Amino acid sequence: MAAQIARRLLSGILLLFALTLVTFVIYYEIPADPAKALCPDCTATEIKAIDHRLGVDESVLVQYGNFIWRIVRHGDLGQGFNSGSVNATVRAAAPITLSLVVGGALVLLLLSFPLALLSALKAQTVVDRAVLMFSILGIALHPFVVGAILRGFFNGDLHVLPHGQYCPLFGTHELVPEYKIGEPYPAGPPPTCGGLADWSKHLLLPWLTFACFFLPLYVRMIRARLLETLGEQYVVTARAKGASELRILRRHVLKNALLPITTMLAMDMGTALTAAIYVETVFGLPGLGLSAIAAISGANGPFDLPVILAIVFVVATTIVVLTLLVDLAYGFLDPRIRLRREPA
Amino acid sequence: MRHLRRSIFEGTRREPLPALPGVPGGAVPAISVERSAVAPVGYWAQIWHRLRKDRFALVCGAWLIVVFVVLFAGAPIVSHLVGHGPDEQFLRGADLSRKPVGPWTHVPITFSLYGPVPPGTKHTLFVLGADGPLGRDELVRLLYGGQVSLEIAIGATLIAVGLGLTLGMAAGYYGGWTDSVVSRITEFTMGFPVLLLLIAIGTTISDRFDFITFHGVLNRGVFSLAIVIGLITWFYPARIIRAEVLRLREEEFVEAARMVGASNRRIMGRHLLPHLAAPIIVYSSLILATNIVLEASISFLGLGVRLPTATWGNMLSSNWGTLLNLSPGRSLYLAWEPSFWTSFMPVIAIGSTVLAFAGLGEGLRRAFDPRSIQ
Repeated sequence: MAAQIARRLLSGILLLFALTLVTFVIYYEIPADPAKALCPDCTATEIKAIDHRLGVDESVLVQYGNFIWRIVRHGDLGQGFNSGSVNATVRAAAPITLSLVVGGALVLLLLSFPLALLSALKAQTVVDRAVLMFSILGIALHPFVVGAILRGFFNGDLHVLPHGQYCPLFGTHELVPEYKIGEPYPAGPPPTCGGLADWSKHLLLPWLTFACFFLPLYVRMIRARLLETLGEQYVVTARAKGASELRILRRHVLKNALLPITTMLAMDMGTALTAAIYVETVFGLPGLGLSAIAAISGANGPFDLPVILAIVFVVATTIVVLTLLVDLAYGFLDPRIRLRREPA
Repeated sequence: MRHLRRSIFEGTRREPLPALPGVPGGAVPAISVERSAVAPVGYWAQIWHRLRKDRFALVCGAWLIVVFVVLFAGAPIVSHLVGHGPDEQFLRGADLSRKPVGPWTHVPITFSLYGPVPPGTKHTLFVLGADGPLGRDELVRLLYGGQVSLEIAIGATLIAVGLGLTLGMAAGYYGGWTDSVVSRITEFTMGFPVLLLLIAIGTTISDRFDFITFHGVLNRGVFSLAIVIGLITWFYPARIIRAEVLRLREEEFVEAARMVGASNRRIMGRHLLPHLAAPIIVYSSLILATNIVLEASISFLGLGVRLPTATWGNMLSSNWGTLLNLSPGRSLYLAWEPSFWTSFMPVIAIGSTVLAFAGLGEGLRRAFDPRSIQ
């Protein structure tokens, strides 16, 4: 078991190195001159001084080495070219993306599970086909479009949900008041919000959009798992003993069918960031995805390599840690796997 | 003996297939050289028979054929009939606030933006209205844009499946360190935030590939996008093919082939590849579906095919704005008022094609392996 963990940990760390190194090299190729962008009127010597302060006058490998050393030695992700401490940027953005992804994954399970159960129990019927097509619709329409449609309907037509922005779960936060161009800006102090109710109300539409993006894959996967488990010998035995269908589902099928889904959730974190970028943009949530886009597009100054690197690093670390945890938990949850692995 | 066997096959082949060919072996045919009661049904014939009963998959397939014919054969015809091309701009194609005209509008060809149209001015028909403030024909752009989108999706799928097949087969067949290396690369590609990679590649290498059109066969920008999409989606077929080869290489026919001295290459090419036809065909159609959506995603980043060349993706994204010219915290903002039609049309085009590819893929999967539950 210990050897297993050590091996997984090692390959995880290797993956981390590879991901950050490739990011570094790829983005190094992008022609960007941060010093020039920060100070357009500077002389050559001043530019050189800024380059030295930012550390971009070194070779790629030295810069990469510095990046890794800072993380290992000080837990510091470095300084952005123009956004101050990257640690602060990530600390501000991470809770938002975390809320989005965790809540979105929950909504995804809540949606995909009943749908998959329905289509597994009615396999090869019209219901099955309809569920599949409905879930594919979520991916056939881009998250941008899904998000815009949801927002247009629930915010624009029904006025029941806010159109975007983030409300923190803990503490409060000032909102930019909603107003239309041409109307006077609302007077008085800006509205504040915070707490569980506001948090979930503001994030409900983003969660739904996020869930739609993964729905077809998960519905199909859970459905396949359920069908496979329903065909197992122990289910036949339970049925032969006269257990009710509900009891069979609850006691014999669900746990076994749902275990592999945890692995899938952990593996999909990389894709989750991609989805988060779109969802955060549609709903104006200043999370990691939007920070990455801002850093790349140079929304606040030059193109900001340290921020991009930090975000790739944070996401990659999450993937590695989660996969490891799920692998470990798996051994405890499903004894068959632990037994199979131990002799090897 | 050999002569006899040949005549049995020839005899059965001349027979018309029975109305419902069952799996051979269901009924023992009377041994007769001239006629047999049950004709043996080939692998592909069985698949076609199962697919034919799947009405939904057939509808999807038929819709795809219609889409392909209309896009590739219909686009020049429609363009000729209405008398303008996909990139031609008409001043009166949008009103004074630059809101595009709606479907079935006769747009006067005039160089004045203001005032009444002088009598006798020629008009041109916009069947689905205009595409935006520039007043280009939505229908013609939709048709030509569809060509580009499908070329990208198909090209990317070929690259992804080719790469996935090669790497997956090598990993599954040779095992050992080849497998380790391929598996690590696969994990790497899966773990990488695709969008960030796309942005990086899109802003660095695509400039150099944009002008490769293979002597005008492809539209400009198709090749680079196909490569980019292929490079980020190959891991999916690779994993599936690796798993399949891992299972197949333990089969007896591989052992038998090795025993008679077949080389690795021959085993892979002659004995394993035919077994992989089913997953390749099925997953190609599913990957095609996702690639069409990916093309739209890339257009939303502002890194897709350059305007004015139309694609379904950039027709959609021009209604919403692209990601890379946004500042954080601000929602999408456009300098013109999009009409309902300008986003409705590409959404319907993308949605129906993606749905059809996915539906056909599902049907094929069932037809290839009726016992499969996936």
